[in-house]
Parts: sequence; structure tokens; C-alpha cells
Amino acid sequence: MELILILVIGVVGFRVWRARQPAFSRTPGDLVGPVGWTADMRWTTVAPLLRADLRRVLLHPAFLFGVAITWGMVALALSEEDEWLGASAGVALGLVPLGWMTIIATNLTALRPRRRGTEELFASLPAPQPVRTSALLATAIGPGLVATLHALGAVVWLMNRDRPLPGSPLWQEIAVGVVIVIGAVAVGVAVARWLPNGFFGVLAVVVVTLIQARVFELTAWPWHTSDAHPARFLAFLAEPSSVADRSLELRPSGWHLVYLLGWTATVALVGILRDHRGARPAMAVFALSLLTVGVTGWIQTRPLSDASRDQMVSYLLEPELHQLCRTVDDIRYCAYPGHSGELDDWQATTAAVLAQLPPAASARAADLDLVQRPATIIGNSDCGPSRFRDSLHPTVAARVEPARLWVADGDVHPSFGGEAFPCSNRDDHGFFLAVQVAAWAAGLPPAPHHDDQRCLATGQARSAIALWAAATAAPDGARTMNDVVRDGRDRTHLRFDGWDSPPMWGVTFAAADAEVAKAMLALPDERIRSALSLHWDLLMDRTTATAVLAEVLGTELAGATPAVDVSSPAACR
Amino acid sequence: MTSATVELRGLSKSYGSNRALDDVSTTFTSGVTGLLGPNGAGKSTLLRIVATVLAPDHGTVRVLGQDPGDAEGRLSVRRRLGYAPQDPGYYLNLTVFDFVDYVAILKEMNDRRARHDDVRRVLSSVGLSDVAHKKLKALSGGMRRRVILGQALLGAPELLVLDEPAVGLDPEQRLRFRETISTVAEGQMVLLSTHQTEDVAAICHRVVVIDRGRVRWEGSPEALVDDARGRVWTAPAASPDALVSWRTGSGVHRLIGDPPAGAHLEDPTIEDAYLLLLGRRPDLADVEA
Repeated sequence: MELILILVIGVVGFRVWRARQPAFSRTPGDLVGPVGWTADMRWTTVAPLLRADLRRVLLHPAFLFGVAITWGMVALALSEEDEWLGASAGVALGLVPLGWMTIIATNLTALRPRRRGTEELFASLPAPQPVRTSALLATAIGPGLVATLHALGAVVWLMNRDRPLPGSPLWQEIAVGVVIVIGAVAVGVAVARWLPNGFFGVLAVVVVTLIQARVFELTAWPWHTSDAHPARFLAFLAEPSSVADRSLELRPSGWHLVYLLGWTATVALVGILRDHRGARPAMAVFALSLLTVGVTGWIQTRPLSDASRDQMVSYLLEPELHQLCRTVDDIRYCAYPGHSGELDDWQATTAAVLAQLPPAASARAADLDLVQRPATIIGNSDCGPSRFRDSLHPTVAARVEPARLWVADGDVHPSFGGEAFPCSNRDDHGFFLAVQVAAWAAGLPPAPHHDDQRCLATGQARSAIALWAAATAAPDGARTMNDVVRDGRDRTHLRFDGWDSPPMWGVTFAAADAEVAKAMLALPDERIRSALSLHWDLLMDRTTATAVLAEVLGTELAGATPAVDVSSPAACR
Repeated sequence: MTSATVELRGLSKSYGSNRALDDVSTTFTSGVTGLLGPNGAGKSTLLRIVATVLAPDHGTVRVLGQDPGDAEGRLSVRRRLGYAPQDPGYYLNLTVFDFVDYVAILKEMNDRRARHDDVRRVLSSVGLSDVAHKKLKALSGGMRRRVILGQALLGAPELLVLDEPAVGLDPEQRLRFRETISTVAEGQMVLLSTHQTEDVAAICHRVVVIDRGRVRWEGSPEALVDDARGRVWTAPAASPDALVSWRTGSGVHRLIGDPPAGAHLEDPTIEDAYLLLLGRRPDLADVEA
């Protein structure tokens, strides 16, 4: 829709502009411009012309504005990145506004003779137009260098943050931003040569942005496909998919760079060919650049090889072949290689939760496995919930059945990127994982299975005990649970409607049971631990209601219910 | 025809229904040629065609032995041309030096040192050395005209095309301008259009009078004046029989054409001759087009 609107505005704008060209004015409308392609061109003029034009581009107010806002844009793009793939792509994304402003700056610089009325004088001067256009295109050196310095600055900043990112920068991903800025010079010059009015430079920025944001937004209308679909690499900037694991991410970064360079050369030659269509050398280079775009476009979007597909499927369905595991106090912790740094956190959370519960709970520790697997629901780039399988390459997704990926095995399953409050980078201090561990200890399913199947434990005492144990074990857990209950509940349950990365709990907790857990937080921990030790088997029975819990604690608990309905098919066993 | 000429044959150019040039044929050779004519006569159109920035609708053009109609010919002419348009436009935020230097680059003067030397030379020749590093926006209109004249002199072009170069110059600057052009004209060809008949008399060896897109007269300034000899008078009162008449500052009337009774014969000036040729009063000459 936006593209149609832009097209209409463009056509109307062009017609208005043409209609306003006077038949005879200070500069005649049928001015014979600079000489086009001739055999006798002096290409050595490009060098001094480049020096003169470069200064004009770099000091252009639009470009300076772009430089001024780039730091803010880079910081914004990196604010929520916690790994180098996303951060590297974020650096490239942060350079995009500099690209917009570069389009405007170079476009207006190229149009300056027309805007300042020197067109007639400059037309009488011998430097042929291809030489002038080439010099303007060569000014890409300047914006390219500025973009490179910004990118390097961002990398240095990322490396010196309080929490350094694991791994190392992905230079090919970062270079995409630099090439985008270089390509912006080509766009600005080419538009000026074909549509010599500043209006079209601004329009070019809008069109380029819309092409990126709408045409290549594959998850939206009219494509409605996976954000991992390789067609996204046909855009100028391809963000990482929401899969959150490098091994499942297809990133043909090198080819994408060549693809962008091919586009840049194509657009540059469109600008040059304005004044010498039919010139064989230029036409040959134009054809070569188009071929580069076509070939690299195909390479990026070609079907996944069988080997790659099998590797990804195995990665998901046979985690034991890929994960790194360790056993501590009879508890087994397994994480994928890129996430092994999280094992210590998982271990600490697990120990803290079990410490809140009677020894009877820990006695089954040999049965406790924490095995990393993807969340069923993950946040996409628009902070919206999407199914994990939609973030996979379509041919991989077709082979990964939910029943095999999310087996109802009773294990605790930390996810890849972690769960979070809606569209937030807020730290839950391990509360979400603590609930899984506590649910396991209470005999409840720790994690969802199949296609996000969760059971109901409404009114069950063990449900409230699990939430309480997690809240007492996690740092700042009481407040986190309060916020979770406030933000995640509907009328009766914690369903986390609209959360982009909801907690991966195997139980859809009742709001009333969460209130019981909150009430328990007001009681001394020792008193609760003592009561739990005495009545553990009773309280772990699925028919034991929260009213019984209140009774054994010797107090009234807000939200406690007298009976449990276990007849529902959705009830936790 | 030698290569150091500009030859126009059957030249016509229209802007919509406005016929700016109508079957113009003439030849320009080395030395200074002045184009005289009222506003809208077609002078600027003719100079633009010679300067290769405008193509005629009909007719043939040969400039310095080249046909500007094809790219190679146009490029060849432009490499030997200095052009000062009537209303050139400026990069007001550039310094005088930088602006002229930019023009020099577009003139394919690629050697930096030689180019800068030439920029300094032309700025000196138009008396702008002292303001070379001032921005153009800080200059008066007359000084900006000199900048445009200076850039036209870059590289000692064989053909200098100057459209109204003396507009806005004060008397002192005009004298300097005449001196500069006279110096440049030695061995080069200069075409200039002007309203200032004194400039023509002072520096041009040849005059072409254009009116309503046609060449009305061409020859030396002396011949133009001679044509008016015996047709210029002064009298105490105006005469309806005079072709052109006006009251002078001393109170007498200057009459061109047939004399009234009691009129006193005067020596004609080039302005008298020009007005006689056009058959219009000076104030009307500039209005009619």
C-alpha cells in the first residue's frame, strides 16, 4: 500500500516538476549539458574533482546530521544485544540512518549546479559528464570511511562494556553497514542524474526504506512466511532470525556483501549510463554487476543442502550429540556449545531452589536433568510472539515435529535466548528457570511439551509451593513474581497473553495459587520449610488443595481454595 | 574559413512561439566583436549557441573549425572556450579562489600547482587578488561579475564569449575591464554582448547589431558611426519629423533623422548610429523586445 502511495506521489511530483519547467528562463530548458561519453575523455580529471566534491559531501549539512545521529542509532540498535551475531548486525543497522542522510547529501551535491544556477556555466566547461559522475561516485570513499570509523568505534565500545559479549565480532556482518553507506552515494548520484530535483532524493530515501521494511519483511503481508526464510537476504540488511542460536542460523554474510557491492555497482552505472548509453565498456561493467547481483542473490536463497538440513535437524532432535554436559551433585546439566557459559547460572539457581525444599525433594536429584532446548514461543524482531518453528529454515521446520522436539520428558529445559518480560531486556535473575526446577521438585511438568502444551494445577498446594520456592530462591524473586502475576495473568490464570518470550513453564498457574504463594512470602521461611518437611508427601499429592496448605502452615492464605478439580483432561497429573 | 573563426549559417532558434533567432548568418574572426541590440533581440541566444550550451533549431554552426552538434566537436570547442554567461549563478559559500579553482578543474586543468597559478593569474587580472579568500556571498554584484569574467580567462582560451560582462561594473572597473579584454584580444577571438555602446566604441573592432532575432548591421564601429553622419542634429525644440529625439541635460533637443528648421548638425556618436539603425528612442530601445 505504501509503495503504491509513494509511486503516486512520485509520478505526481514528477509531472508537477516537469510542468513548472519554463520554456525560456534564465537557464534555457533545452540546455545542452556536459559532453557525454567520448573517446577523448580525460579520466585524470576525476582525481582533482573528487577532492573538491568530497569536501562538499562531507561538509554537507545532511551528512553532518547523519553523523550526529549515528552514534545514537548505533547505541539504540545495540541496546538489547547480548551476543555478537545480533550485535554485529546491530552495528550495520545503526549505520542505516547515515546511509539515508548520505543519499540526500550526495543527491543535493550532484544537483548543486542546477540549484545554484551554475548549470549553464558548468555545461560550457569541457569535463565530460561521465567524468563528473565518476568523481561524485568516488566520493563514496569519504562516507565509507566515516561509516567504518563509526563501526570500529561501536565494536570497541562493545568490547569494553561491563558485560563483554561472548565470542568475537563478525566483520562481514558489520561491513554490511559500511557498504550500505557506500551504496547510498551511488543511489544519491544516480537519482540526481535521472531525476534532477532534490524532491526525488528524499523520495529515494523513503522508497529504499520501504523496500527494506515492507517488501522484505517476510513475516508480514503478503508473504507471511518465516523470518528465517533465505529470501530476506535479498534485502539490503538481513537481520538475524529470532532462532537465537548460531548453529540454526543461515548467514551467507560474505555472499551478502558481494550482493550489496553488486547492487552498488549497478546503481552507480545506472547513474553513469545516463550520459553515455551504449558505451561498450560501461555497458559491459553494468552487465557484469547485474550478473553479480543475480548470481549472489541465487546463492543466498538457494535451497539448503541436505547435509546442512540434516545437521540442523539433528542439532534439535538429537541434542545429546551436540550438547556439552556436566553432572554436579547427581544433577545433569546440558547446554549447546554456544551457551555453555550459562551452566554456572543454571547450577546456582537449581541449588538455591532445592535448598528451600525438604530433603525429600533433593533425594530425587539423580532424576533431575537440565537439558537445553528451544522455547516453544520466541519473540521476533517486532517484539511479537512467534512459534519457534517459524524461525527455522522452512525445510528444517518441516522435518522438526513438535512432538519430537518438545518431548514430555519431565526434565527441566532452559531455552536458548531465555524468557523475558514483554519486549524487555529486564533481568529475571533466574526466576523463570527457578519455577521450572521447583515445579520438577513438586512433581509438576517443568516445561511445556509438544506445541506449547501446558497443564492446569488450579488449586493444587504443590503449585503454590513451587512458585513460593522459586520466588524465595531467586534474587529479588518476590518482586519478580509480583510483576509476573501482575503482567501475565488474565482473569484466572497466568497465560502471558501477548508476551513475546513468555516463561517456558509446563504449568499454566492459576492466579489464585500465585496469590497463595505471595501470601506465603510474608511468612518466615523457616516456618514454611518446617511445615513442608512434615507434610511433604501430603502436599505433593495432586488432590491436596491450597486450603490444606494454609492449614498445615497454621494461618490463613489469601486465595486458598478448599478443593481441587483433577477430573479435567488438562489437569496436571 | 580558418579554424579561428565562428561561422553561423541560416541559424534559427525559437522558445515556444517566441522566435529568438531568425535565419542568422554571420562570421566572427579574431579580435573583439561586440553584439549590440535591445533586450530580447537574441544576443544571449546567439552567444549560448556559440558557447555550445544551446543547440539551434535550424542552421549550421562551426566554431573554431568544429561542429558543436556532435560530442567530439563540442568537447573540442569547450576545451578552447572561455564563457561568461549573463546570469551565471554562484556557489556563495565558496571562496573566490575555490570557486574559480573548481571551474578550472572542470576545465580539465589537472595539475594542481599549474592550476592554482592560473587561478591566481586570472584573479589578479580582474583585480580580485585581495578578496581571493573571501566567500562569494560577501562580495558585491560588481565583484561577482569580475569573478565570472576571471573564470572565463582561465587557460587563455582561443575563444572568449562574454554575455553582458560589464553589467554592474563601476566606471573604474569598466576601464579595467576594457583594458583586460583589449589585452586578451591580442591573438584571440572575443565575442561580447552589451548595451554599452561606449564599450563597443572603445574595444571592439567589429560590431554586429541584432534586433528581433535578425542581424541588422555588421561592420566596424567607425563604419556604423559614418552611416549616421549628416543625420544627427540639435535643435531648441523637438520635431515630429525626427526619427528619434530626446531632450538633453543642457535643455536642447538631440534629433536623429530629418532635421527641423534651425537645427544644428552634430557629429554622430556610436549610440546615435545605433538608435538611428533601430529607429527608436533610447528609453524605448531597452523596453521593446
